[in-house]
Amino acid sequence: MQAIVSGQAGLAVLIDGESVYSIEANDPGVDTPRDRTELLHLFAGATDVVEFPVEDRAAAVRRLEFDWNCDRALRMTLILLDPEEDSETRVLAAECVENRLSDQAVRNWLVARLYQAVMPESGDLAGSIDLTSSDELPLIQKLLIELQADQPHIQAAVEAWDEVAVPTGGNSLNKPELFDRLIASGACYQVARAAAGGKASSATFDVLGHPGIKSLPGIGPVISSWIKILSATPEPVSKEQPVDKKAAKKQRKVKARQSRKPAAEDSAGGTGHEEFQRWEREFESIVAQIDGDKLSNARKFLGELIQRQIAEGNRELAGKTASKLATEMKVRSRTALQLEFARLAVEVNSEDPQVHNHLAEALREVGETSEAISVYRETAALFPQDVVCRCGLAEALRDSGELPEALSIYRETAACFPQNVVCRNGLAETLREVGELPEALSIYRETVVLFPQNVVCWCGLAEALRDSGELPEALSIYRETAACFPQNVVCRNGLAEALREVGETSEAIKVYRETAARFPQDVVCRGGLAVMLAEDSKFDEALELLPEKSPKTHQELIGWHIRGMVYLQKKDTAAAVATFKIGLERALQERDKAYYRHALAGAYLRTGQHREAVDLLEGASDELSDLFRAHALGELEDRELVKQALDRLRGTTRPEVQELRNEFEEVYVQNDPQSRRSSADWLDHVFQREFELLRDATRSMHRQSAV
Amino acid sequence: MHVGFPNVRAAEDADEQAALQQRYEEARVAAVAKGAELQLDDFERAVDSSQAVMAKRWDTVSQIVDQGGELFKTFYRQVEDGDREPQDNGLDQQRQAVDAMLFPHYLNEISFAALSLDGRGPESYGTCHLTFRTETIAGRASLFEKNTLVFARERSLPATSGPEPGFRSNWESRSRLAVAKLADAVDVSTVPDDYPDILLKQNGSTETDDFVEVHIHGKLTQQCVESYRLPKPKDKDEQVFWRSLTKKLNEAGATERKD
Repeated sequence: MQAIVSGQAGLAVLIDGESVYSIEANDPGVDTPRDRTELLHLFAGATDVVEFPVEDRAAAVRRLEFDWNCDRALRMTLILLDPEEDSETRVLAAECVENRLSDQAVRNWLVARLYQAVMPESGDLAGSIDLTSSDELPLIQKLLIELQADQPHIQAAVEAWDEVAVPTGGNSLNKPELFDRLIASGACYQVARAAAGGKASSATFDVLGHPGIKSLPGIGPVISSWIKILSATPEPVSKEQPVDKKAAKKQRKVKARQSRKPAAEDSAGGTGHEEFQRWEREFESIVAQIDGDKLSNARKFLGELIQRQIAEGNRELAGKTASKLATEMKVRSRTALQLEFARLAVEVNSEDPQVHNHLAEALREVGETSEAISVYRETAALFPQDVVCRCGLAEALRDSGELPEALSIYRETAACFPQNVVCRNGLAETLREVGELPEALSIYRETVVLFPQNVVCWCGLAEALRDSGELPEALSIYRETAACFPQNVVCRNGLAEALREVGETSEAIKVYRETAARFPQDVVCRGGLAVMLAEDSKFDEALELLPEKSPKTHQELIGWHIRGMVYLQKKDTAAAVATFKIGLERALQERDKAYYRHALAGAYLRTGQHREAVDLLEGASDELSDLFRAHALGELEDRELVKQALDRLRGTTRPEVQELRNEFEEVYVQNDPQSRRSSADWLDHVFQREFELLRDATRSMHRQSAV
Repeated sequence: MHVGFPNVRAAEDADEQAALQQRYEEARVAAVAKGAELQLDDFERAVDSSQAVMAKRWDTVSQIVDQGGELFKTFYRQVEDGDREPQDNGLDQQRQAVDAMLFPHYLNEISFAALSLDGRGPESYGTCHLTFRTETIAGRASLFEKNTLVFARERSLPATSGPEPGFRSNWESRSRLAVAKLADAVDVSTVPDDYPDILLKQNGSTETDDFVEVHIHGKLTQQCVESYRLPKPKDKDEQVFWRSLTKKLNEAGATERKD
């Protein structure tokens, strides 16, 4: 089903095969049959028309209601601000806005637009504040008072943006397009508000953290430049506007509150710009020391920088400095340092939930999942409204295989924060993992409607469709998403895998090769390509793509696992055993350990190390472990234990496991009339089937990493 | 040098005019044959004074009135949330098909209205009706036999070829187009009160409403509106729109039609 929605037109049109009907936002229960030929007339003039696939009518109505409420909130605000309108009309408009502002997502949308430019002369902010002085309009009045107080900062932010040089070429957006994107993300609002609070530089982190911004190529220097220029601007003087006494009193209160906030830049004895530049230089210098392996210097410089920031009264920035350094280490795969600096950040400023989350994330990276879960739990107790923490906790629980609790936390968080795309994606992904595909699909479909610019939900939807066997739709979504987000490597990898699954092997390899050329460091892409090349018996080329050194990161572990599988396929079992052994030693998360355990057991069976296989699998209770255990015990002629392992597999839902189980029962438990056990052909046949099971597991591991 | 609006140029093409003239003459011959020549003459004269009327819903009609304002222009710009790829279904498909056929390269410049004799547009498109001042649109308006998309669909026209000539006109020739299209509906019993319903058939559904479609190139602002029909709404949002719109339209010299 296809939906076309416009908040401006207050209209959604649903196209389901030959059936076309419209839904009006102010009467969403009624379907009006339409003809395709009417669509242009129905939406004519609207500039916000979006078209997208939709699961059901309800999802389209939700998107329509959101877009419509946003548009109405803006239109009503403009009427309220218009001094040419009658006072009665303006107050009525204010009431219409007030009702909508209780929805935080609508408020965010509205302020993002109102902060894009300075209020024109024809906008009557003071009069609007006056008109909304009734106790029944607290939300709109608060918004207007802030907006009025922030006008000089909006002007400064816009003027600073005018001076920013935006690189052109490649896939970059041009400057006006980029500004549109910044408006939509709420960046103008964040920057002006941060400037009003005397800390323009702190907005850098928030702006660059927005999902719609951070993925833009080359955006970091542009935003830094914008904030630098803004920070260098002298403190703007508030433009006086005549307001009534009550409003003026409220304004004074707001300003008084603001003036009590620590003014970091002033106390630093320099301008915000200088402070930011100095901080940036010192930060880069610390990173350079680390890159040059001069760790003691780096630690010394970092300590000095943090001490100075604390002395200047900016503990928050000090915490962010350490936390940002932890993030830099993550990018460099230096997990021990990532953890060290994340711990330091918490020591420096324990009042910032972000630093706690960074610490927990670092703990996850180094495989300390239990401690990560503890940190997340403590942070969630301290900051119950912090959605990043809740999602992080759910992810850590997923890492440790505690899927029911992860699911429960995601459900609870999604109910509290329905507009949080990370949470929605996490919930859908967990549902996919536990096999609740219809619900996962439904959530993904809703999410792509609500967040059409979020590439993660599009890829998740395509993955869930792959799981459901809906390969043509999955492929189609991957193709469209890859076209829309050419810089997204996850999507391109997913496209290649979907092509492989539908049998378009040469196109899949082509996509992988193009992706590998464009993203040479992407381990998932190289791994995917290696798997395909190995299937084509191009073992050497496949091995060249895979990590040669012992794996350190999760991504490298996956590449390393594929390396072992290539050796198995190449029938170099000794190399496979050695590879899987190293991987098992290095694996940190239980999920990864299980993948390696299975693979190593499979390799042991081929080398005839049956006792080693049994010992390795001791305590493991999953299906593959029981299957390999049965095989090894059968070769060791321990009929009773084989029987126990096979009994546990009796309820398997996987036909390929069931088939092999039955053969083991016939050969190792019953009297095998065909004497297959002594047959080399039968063993080859078993190894091949076991290899296929392992290969499926590898793909699953690879896919989890890719998503 | 301004060479005219592309939709008007297309309508004034010599082949178009010749084909329309032929249809017009054939319609007149048929009217003479059934003794309705006088009634058809009278209908044609009436259509000479017809106007372009746009029917809209509340949400879209207010944009026409608001878009001239500074506040609107400052804050109501289109904010791109990202690229939008053409879809397999729906609006883009329609847009591409029409674009290729009738308005190559300038579809976004075209506003759609209907030819009307009583200030009523096709109500299936909305209950808010704006009648445009003829002098503000005559030079940039062209007319087409009916809803272009319905026309294309009825004739199964491929996207790569436009309609055959004879179904469009410039503003001055709109009555000839109406005669060519509607002469069959005029007979000896037809009286002037019937003309509005002959020209624009309100059948309660956009699928069956039939009208001569007006294509206006360029922006329409509140200054273009001569009169309006805006039903007073009960919904609070729409009451705000109604109050705001009627005030602005009245100040721009438009009058409310209550007939």
